[in-house]
Amino acid sequence: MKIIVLKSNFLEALSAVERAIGSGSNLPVLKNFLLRSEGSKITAVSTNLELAITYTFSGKVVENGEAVIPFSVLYSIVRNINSERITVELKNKKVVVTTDNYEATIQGYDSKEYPIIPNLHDRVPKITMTAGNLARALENTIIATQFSEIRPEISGIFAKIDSGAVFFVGTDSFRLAEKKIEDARCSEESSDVKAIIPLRTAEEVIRIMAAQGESDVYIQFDSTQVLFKTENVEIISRLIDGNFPEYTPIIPTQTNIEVTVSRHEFVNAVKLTSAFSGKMNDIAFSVGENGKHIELSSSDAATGENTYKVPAKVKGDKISLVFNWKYLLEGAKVFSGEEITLGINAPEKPVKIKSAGDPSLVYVVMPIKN
Amino acid sequence: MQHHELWQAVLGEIELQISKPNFLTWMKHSQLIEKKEESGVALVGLPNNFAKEWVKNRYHKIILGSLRNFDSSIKNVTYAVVHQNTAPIKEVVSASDKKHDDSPNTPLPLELKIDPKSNLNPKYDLSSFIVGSSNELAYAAIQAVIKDVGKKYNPLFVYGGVGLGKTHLLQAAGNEISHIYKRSVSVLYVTSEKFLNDVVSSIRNKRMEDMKKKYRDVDVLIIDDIQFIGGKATTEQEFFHTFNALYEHNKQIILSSDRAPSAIPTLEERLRSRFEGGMIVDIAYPDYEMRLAILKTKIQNQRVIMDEKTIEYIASKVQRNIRELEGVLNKVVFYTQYKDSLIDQKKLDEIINETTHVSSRNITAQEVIKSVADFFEVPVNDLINRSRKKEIVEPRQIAMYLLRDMLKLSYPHIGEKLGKRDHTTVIHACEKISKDIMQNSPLNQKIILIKERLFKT
Repeated sequence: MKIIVLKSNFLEALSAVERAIGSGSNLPVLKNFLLRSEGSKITAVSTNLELAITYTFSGKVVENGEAVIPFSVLYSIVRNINSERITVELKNKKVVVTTDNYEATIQGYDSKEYPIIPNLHDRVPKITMTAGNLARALENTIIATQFSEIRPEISGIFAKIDSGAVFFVGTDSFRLAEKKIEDARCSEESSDVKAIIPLRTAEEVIRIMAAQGESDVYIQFDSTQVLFKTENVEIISRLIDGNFPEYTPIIPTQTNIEVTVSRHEFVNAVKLTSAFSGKMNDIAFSVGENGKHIELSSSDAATGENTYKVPAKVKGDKISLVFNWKYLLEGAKVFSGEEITLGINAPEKPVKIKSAGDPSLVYVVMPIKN
Repeated sequence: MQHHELWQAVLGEIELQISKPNFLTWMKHSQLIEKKEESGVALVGLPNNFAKEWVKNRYHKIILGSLRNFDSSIKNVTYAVVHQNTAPIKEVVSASDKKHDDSPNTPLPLELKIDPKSNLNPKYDLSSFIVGSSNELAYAAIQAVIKDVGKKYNPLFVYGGVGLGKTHLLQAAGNEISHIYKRSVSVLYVTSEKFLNDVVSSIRNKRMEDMKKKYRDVDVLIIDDIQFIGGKATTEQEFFHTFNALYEHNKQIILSSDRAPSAIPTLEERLRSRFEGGMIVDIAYPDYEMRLAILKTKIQNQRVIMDEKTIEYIASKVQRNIRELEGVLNKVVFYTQYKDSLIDQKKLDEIINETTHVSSRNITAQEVIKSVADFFEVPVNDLINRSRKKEIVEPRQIAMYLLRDMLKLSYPHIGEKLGKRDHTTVIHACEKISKDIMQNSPLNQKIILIKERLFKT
């Protein structure tokens, strides 16, 4: 194998595959990545046996072939090289990296030792959407997700297709975020898709897809794995085996009290009032008598207390609730619209946050019991 | 078991041929799932797709070779991904700012919970209730009640032995009613013990009004195991008034008990007559087909695989109680998953026996005769003697019937046991009782009670 690549392209590829480099505790070869040149295509592949990332980038292929190279060594070399062009060559089972004035010889592995990346290619693409939309949807729902060893089935983003729209859902059992994507194109056999994408995979998909902008991404599911594929990146990951909880009944369909506030002001208010909240992260939320504003307050016997009045449009009766301010803040921040609306039923019932500017997203948070 | 042992032997060979890290990563969690006898194809299960690809491409020859060393009938090997019930591989949580402080936050109601208002457990629903010949009447009655709440069969009285699905049916009816009629119909499910406690605490706290309000403002009142209120005068009285209040307003009442109203000895006459005024249906022991159907549904719900023979064997052995059926199934499932091997006959028998010790107990002829005598409160000797008094004749015939039915003794032998009677006398008795059981439900009830006593001792 012999290739000549630009430093910037190579670095981009290496940082894309970086997160799927394994710790190598059992299998040392996982600390490496696979570099392959074939025709005019150069690909970098990494896997930790849960997740595999394949990144295709451009460069000049002098000779076809494969090399397995220790990732951290090569990455630090490429980062610090100051020449534009880098030549990578496999000579006598050793990887030689050369520029105009630099040469390094790295002890590689036999490429036959590297794991084979599983394939889903012979199936029809199931869902197509833009990479930006996918990244945003995962970003919106990942905030409510948390890794849990006790409940693996919620340590991931749930994806399902319902009447032509794709839903992504995340929850940590205290709050829940649901994002609907309507302009995705789903092939017919995709109607039964129900999958739980591991948190770690979702983080990688966000990172990589956010950089892909508005190009298309194909998503395919089979019973054990998922593939995200764009023109130059492929991410394959296992799925979490389990049943995601039946979450739809939790989202209130009707709310008695609706409070609409400026998102910016609300975020600010939550941040400010949280200064005096106690160990529970609790802040009080109350709708005043006249229905013109809401009050956020927190108090601590040792430090003091504060109250913030936020102008609001209120429909319904007055009510007081207690929230974990972190959940409230993250919920408010996730929306992009100017205003958000909090739908409240009772002090101990889930509260729904929506935004007129972002109707496809729903955030549900449970108040703290008083 | 066979597969497991074969695979262990194969793994032993492979371990010597490949490096340790490779073995640990790719082969350690593999298993031999099945071997098709006719085509000679072995199916090997691997924990993930990476392992599947790797093993298929790199170790196929080694595996096939090793397998053939032990079992020459194997011609080929195929691979599949199977999920194992092991803990998920730990992920590194990169977002450290998302750490939870263990604050007493209230979780979202993700799990099914018992509805505090109606006291119903949503896990019971009608669709999971398996209907067979032994309970189709009860099921039909419940359906009719759901359709016409308070009008058709009121009260509905369901009775049957332990673990046959009374609670399931009652709870499912409650759930279904509250699902169909939403808020317009309020349902309350209580056990008779809860009712009793409510009576006691309301007397103690002098809050009788609350109690009356709670029970009389509902549209559907479901009381489970009503037989326990028998003999508790104040509770019976309170229940009587509640019953009347509801009944007058055409509110639906559904009751369950382990025996028919007439067979609850301590129940007051006026309650008994009220119970009998509605619809009484019984749930009998499930037949073989139904037990098989129940097992298969449970297996499907638990998403486990079990071979047909084992299922059939369990269904044929565990006859009297659906709860025991579930118990045996759970143990078998646990055993296979824990030991990671198929269960053998000996272990299966062991599990069945320890769960349903009664069914395997040897009952002697003496015990049958004695329990019949005890039940009818006549001396054992009278059954054996020549007396032809009416109150002796029936118990004697029942004893003959039970000896025949349960112990499969020969007619002459039964005659011998019961005072050297002729075998034709015994034949007559058995035929008479089996015929009467069909038409005469008190007799049937008596026989069931005697059987229950026999199994209990």
